[in-house]
Amino acid sequence: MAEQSTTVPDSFLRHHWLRRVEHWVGALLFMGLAVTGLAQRFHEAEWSGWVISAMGGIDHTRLVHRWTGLTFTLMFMVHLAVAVVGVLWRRWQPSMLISRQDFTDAVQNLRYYLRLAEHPARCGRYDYRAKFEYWGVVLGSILMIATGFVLWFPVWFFQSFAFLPGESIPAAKTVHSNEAMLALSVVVIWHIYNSVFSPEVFPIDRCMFTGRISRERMLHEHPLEYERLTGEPAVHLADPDPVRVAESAPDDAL
Amino acid sequence: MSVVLLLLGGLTGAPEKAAPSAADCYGCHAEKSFSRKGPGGRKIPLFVNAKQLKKSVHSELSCDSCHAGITAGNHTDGEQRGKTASLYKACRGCHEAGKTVHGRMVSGAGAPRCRTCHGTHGILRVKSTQPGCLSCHGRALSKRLPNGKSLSLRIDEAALDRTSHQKLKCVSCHAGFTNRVHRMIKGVNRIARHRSTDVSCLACHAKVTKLMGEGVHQRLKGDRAQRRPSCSDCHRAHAPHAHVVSGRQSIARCRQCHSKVYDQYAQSVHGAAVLKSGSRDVPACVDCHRAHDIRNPGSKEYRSRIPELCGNCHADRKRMKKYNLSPNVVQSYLDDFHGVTLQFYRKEKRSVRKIAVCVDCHGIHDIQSTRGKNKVAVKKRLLTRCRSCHPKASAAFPDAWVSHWIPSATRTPLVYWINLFYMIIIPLMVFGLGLQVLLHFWRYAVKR
Repeated sequence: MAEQSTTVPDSFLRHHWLRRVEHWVGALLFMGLAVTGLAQRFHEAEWSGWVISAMGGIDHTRLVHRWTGLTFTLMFMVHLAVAVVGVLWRRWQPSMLISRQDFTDAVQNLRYYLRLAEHPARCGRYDYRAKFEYWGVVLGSILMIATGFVLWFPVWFFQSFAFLPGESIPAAKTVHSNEAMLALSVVVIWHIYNSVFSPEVFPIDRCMFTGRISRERMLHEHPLEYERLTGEPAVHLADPDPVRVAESAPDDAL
Repeated sequence: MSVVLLLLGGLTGAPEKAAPSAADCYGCHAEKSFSRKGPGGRKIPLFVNAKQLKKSVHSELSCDSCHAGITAGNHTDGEQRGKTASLYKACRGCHEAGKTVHGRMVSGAGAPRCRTCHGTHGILRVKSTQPGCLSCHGRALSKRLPNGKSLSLRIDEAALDRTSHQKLKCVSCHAGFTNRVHRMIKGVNRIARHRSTDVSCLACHAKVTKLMGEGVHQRLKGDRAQRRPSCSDCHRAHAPHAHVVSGRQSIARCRQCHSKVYDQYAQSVHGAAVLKSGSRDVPACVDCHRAHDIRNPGSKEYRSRIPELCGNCHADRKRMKKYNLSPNVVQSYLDDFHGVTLQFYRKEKRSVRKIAVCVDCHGIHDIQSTRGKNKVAVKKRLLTRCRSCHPKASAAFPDAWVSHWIPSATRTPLVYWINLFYMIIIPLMVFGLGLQVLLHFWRYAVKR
């Protein structure tokens, strides 16, 4: 015990400070877009009137929405560039790529929730929930950015893509507003729960502030990542149920 | 009867030159049932009420002062009867016709005779009778105008009694009028001065006063102010149901000054319906411009209310069903980009840009049906309108507007299927993720 605690650190750096800044900038932009966008979508609601008059009128609201969107687009492009450069030049692990194991992990976790399995899935650096959300954000952003620009510059759009029917504009509007609702519901239900209300992190997951995660949580939530970093088996020292930990060991082979 | 007359004639003997005394006449004419047969068997009473005659202004006159040349023996044949009939000549002996209104009224063919108004034997002093307005205006009274037209001055008393103003007196509206004033008014403004003015209406209809004050016509000055419509132009003054203004009547009044607009309107789908078939389902001038508080239709405020204005009819399900038109056109406009912008501009009480409204694509007074051959014209106008704000708009650009249609699989398949996809995927996602959240919470917090 004493040996291990000297070689294995108490906490691990999980997110570089640049990633954390990126996260919070993205979160702020997302919230700004959500507020200004929802007020336009639900224009008949009373609260929409408050928001829009607080923003200084519909024209100003649209201006803010569009420039926030443009900033978001830039941030998104920087993110993609960093990811590509990091993976190709700096030899980063493409740990966000979806693998077959993510599906089996999801099934395993569902079985665990329903008490059909004794232990939860053993996940790596990013579990299937994080990957689902990440790719949801990437694909959703592409859709939102593309349709957003069509709605911002409809005349330019028809000049550039003359072969497209006029219906493209209302179609873009439909995609933009529906995709926004989808993204918003995923964030509100899934992301807020997992990082705020989940019993594992409540009252809040501090990882996105400090960038660090405790050894205990690392063992619990990212055992494969723990093993990769420390070279030691992910045996939880203070686990109340040693049988579960022991049983989970053979799964490492998967 | 004629036997009696003949007998009387026989008794008095041969015709006499001397005038008969009143007593001579009363010999027959005091008999209440004294009468003769007129043409077609009509009974003509010949009774003269001596008591009435005594009280009359002419009580001092003898019978032959008026019935000149009539003697006991000579007034039973046709020729002498004619003399009794043309009595007004007798009146003229003392009362000149003159060049007054009254004088002209009683002169000429078809004019009422003196006795029609003043009576005969019971005639009283004019000053003590106080004749009402209708004693003249209830008759076929007319005036020749400088332009040669004849203006009827007759008031139909029976119709007047059926109006909502039946309890009012003439002077309630024609304020300050008396016989004296009537005679004194002369010159060009004669007709204008005789007419009741809007001021008389507004004395009772105070709410309308306020509305009128807000109307554009109130701001007219000089000559143009003279041409301003008055209440009675649309609300017929002496006719029943004056509050109901027929579309055609108000349109005709507006046309007097706004003839170019009228010509456009008459050709439009609305104008044709009201002018040709008298339809009450289509708007007349006042339905869009309002009757009393007519606002400047070029103002931004007016413009920003146009969707609701059209919606008064075009969002009325019952009326639209009658013509097989969609009642959703206004709502679909208000839900789209321009409609949303317009609504927010109204909330902000400002209007920075001219947002396209109904009339920009459909036209204003020249509005046409969007069906059949007009469809092409409407589309063409649409592109022109788009380009006034989006100058580089291409030919496909107006198609971005899906023509008031609620997205359907046939008309707008792209929008329809995308919508359907999200209508399924969003609830599925919310349900699936919500279930995972609940299960996770249950396993980690409740059943560890």
